[in-house]
Amino acid sequence: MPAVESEKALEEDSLSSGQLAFHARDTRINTIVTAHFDVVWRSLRRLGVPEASLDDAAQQVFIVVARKLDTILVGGERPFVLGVAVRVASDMRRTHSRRREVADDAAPVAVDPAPAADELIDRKRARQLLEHVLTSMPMDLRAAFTMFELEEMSVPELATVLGVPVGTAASRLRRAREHFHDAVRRLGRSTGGGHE
Amino acid sequence: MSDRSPMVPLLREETDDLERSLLESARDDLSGDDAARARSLAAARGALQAGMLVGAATAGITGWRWVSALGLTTTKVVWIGCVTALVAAGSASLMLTRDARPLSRAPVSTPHTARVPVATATATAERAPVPVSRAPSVAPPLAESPPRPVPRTAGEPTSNTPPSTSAKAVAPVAPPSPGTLHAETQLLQSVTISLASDPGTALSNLDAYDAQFPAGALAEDAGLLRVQALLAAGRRDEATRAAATFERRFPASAFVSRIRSLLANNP
Repeated sequence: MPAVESEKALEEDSLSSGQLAFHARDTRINTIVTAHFDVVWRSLRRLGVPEASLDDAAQQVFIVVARKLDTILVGGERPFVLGVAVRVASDMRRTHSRRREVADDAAPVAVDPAPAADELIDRKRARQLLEHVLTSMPMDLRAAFTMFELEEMSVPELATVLGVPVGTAASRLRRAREHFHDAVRRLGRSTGGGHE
Repeated sequence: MSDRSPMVPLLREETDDLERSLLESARDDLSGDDAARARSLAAARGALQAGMLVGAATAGITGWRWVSALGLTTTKVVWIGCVTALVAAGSASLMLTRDARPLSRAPVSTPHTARVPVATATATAERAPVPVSRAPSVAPPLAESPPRPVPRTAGEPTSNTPPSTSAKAVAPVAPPSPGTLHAETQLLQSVTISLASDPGTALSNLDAYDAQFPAGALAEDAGLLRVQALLAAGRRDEATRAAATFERRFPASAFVSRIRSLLANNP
């Protein structure tokens, strides 16, 4: 770096250094968005963010990530980003619950009592039923369940995402599974399929 | 279930058909069709770009005094950022429009342009104005997909030779041309992309950067990335030495505190 003598030159060097810092951050956040946008979007959906609010929620996630960029360790982007997504989804659900703004696709799905034709339910109906089951879970269990079962995250990574010890993450996952099994059994009885 | 037995996702175990159907249906949870996904992604980047402009004050830019003399308010800075983001987005499919609605979803109540959380970005901006004229009108365009990583060249050094060692032997160079800056940017972007998954390749590319651009405009960025890559590779002692070399070479750099923080968080 060239020696600086005048205040103007010093200011220009500082500005250059800051501009470069900005550029590096811009590059890194752009990379994070590219790599993790899809998983953030579908995680927010699975965590119960209403369809009409998904874009807003995704924006909020990446804005928080950008603010905290300096604290994110290299290689730790995914659990950090998803941890933010869990918190954004929790906040949004509380907000929507207070405002009683429940979009049609976020309302509890009325389970059709008519028996399924066979054990293979079409995917759209299956997704509605899954949403019904997930909606019935408390948020902490829902987050553990969706991250582990649907994103196939490891338990240690799940613990990082949730911000809890590994043992706590495993415990939540087990309770979430029990909840899932019970809810699906009830669904099976209500659809007349007896799927156990 | 034993506390010590490893947990495996249900879809990889024997599970009943109904449970399997429900879990597999979640594989359809994509962000809409390609056009809808592009709009959602563009909206996220647009909001981020506005936030990045405002938050640039936290990156240690000290040359803001002349900007504040222009009387730019924070709100104006944020909206300039939004416009800049729209220009940087490039193709029509990425432009935020008032009619931008996902084809496969229910109509949204407000257009995407109104979804940029200006209030959120504004709150961040309360610290200091931003040098707008140096804002990312010259930043690299937001690429839809990351550039291909530069492959490791056989015979290139993979050691953590401190940058200053090679830099001292090279004569000073003129300010970089736009073409040189673009080349530097491309190379460091490939480093960033491979940083987490393949720090060895990242370090090779950093060696290539040092060789090609011994007094590059992005030398500070490369120095920061080198420390990060060494930490990612588990080479903490070398990262510490690289950090010390960086501080000697760039004592006034905005990255100094960040590098110290990285080392502190990676014992």
